[in-house]
Amino acid sequence: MSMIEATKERISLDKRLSATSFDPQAEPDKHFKPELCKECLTKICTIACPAKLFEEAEDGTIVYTHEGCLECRTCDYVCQNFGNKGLIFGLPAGNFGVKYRFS
Amino acid sequence: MASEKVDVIIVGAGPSGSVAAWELAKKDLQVIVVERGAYPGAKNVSGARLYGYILPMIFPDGEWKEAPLERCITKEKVIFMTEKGAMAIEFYHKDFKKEPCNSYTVIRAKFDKWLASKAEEAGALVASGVNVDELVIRDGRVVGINAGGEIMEADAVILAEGALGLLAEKHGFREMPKPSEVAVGVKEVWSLSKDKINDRFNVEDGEGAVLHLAGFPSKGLRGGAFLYTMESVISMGVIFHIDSIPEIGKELNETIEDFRLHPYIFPLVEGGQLVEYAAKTVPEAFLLTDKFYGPGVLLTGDAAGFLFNLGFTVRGIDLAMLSGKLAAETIIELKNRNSLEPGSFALYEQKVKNSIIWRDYKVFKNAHKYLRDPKIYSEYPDLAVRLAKRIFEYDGTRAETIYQAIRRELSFIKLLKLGLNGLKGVKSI
Repeated sequence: MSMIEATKERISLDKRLSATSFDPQAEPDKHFKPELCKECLTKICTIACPAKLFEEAEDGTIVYTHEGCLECRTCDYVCQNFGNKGLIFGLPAGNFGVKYRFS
Repeated sequence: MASEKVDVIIVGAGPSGSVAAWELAKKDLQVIVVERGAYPGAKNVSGARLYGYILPMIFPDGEWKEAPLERCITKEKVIFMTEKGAMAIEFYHKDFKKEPCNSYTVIRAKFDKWLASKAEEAGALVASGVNVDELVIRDGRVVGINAGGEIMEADAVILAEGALGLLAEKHGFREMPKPSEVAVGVKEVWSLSKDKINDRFNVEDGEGAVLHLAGFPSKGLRGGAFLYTMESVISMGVIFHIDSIPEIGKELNETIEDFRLHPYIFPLVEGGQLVEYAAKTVPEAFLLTDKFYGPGVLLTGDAAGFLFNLGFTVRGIDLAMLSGKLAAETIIELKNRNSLEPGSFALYEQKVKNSIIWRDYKVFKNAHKYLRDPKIYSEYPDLAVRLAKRIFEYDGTRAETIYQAIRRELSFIKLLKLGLNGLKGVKSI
């Protein structure tokens, strides 16, 4: 892990995420109903996820990267309330996923 | 499928699960705690502040003095912020240092590990890295857990799974909380030397400060920001309600950088090293469910919704520990009476309703409603900073008394309304 110092520069999210410990599992922990995501008008998961793991693909579906998931459930809450309910929320299997050390 | 039976299974090795395990194991009950994280605390994100009164209640023999407590909080700062300004009220009191301190900051990865180790010392088995898929229900009664196809049975299950509450929802103890009732906190943890933290917050060794901020970067939206001092790290972040997210107008992850780079905040963390970036959602409506127990199962801590948010006082860990203790006492009593039939678990409700949890809930039940007032998040912080600026600034063009400054910012009616609303706030939080 490289040192990330608090200077007056904004720090990219990728860099900030690199400070957190993860032990990602092989398989993604969340799934989608792509037909619902395609019709989703807000794609709110893409701005709400604190780790920005959701991206809109060209065909309007959502591409999700599970490495870096902070396991906060924000995506589930926003998708159910302001999205098109296309996300099937899940968490990594036991032992895997985020390992908070200072929180 | 292997099946074995113990006295009690506890889902989650957080503060409520580990306290329940400690109490039960001390009475020689066979207890297994299953924790999905690689170690207790691995999945926990918290302010994190613990109110000291609870420690001697759980550890009357003084074992709590070995607990990894970060700093004794002697300084509380309430800060109204705007993009360029900040108006702070600082409170210090020496009495906050009297043992046990009014409150301590804790790092959950350390504190939860310690608490789980106490449960282990008392004889409980803590199994980390085990994710529970569902509760096992037979004839309408919870009889155990299913973890990856492996069934384990017990006379009673304590559901101490925390704020995510997935099992509680799956089994109908609560519904998914409404977006107005859930807050998301995003946090950065910065490592700094102990001496630098002492200097920057003007505190003695072992003492610390907690900053509560309103107005920026959550301008106009329900939410706020916080900064907690640990022994040699600073934990800072932003909080938004889920229903505010569509209105932020930028990515959630950017707001915390706006906060860190605010000219009033930046010098506090300057030169620190980032050691963690974290996020968590917490349902804030106290008692998400009135069903915090069922046949064979008791819900504790955040899983049951035991959390008070009074704006500047957020209490969750103490309520979690207390509810863990009450759940353990319920099971011990039922076991002694040899009365584990499905209906008898209502004893837990009695115990909760006779406890500090319920007494305080009755006092604070309007706070949540009051904290929905959007004025708290924009109008008041703006007003506080504008008024303070008028009072402290002199540029040679105007002179005015404090009264004149107030009257220039506020009509008589507005002043009256502000007073009335302030009174409402004082009565509810």
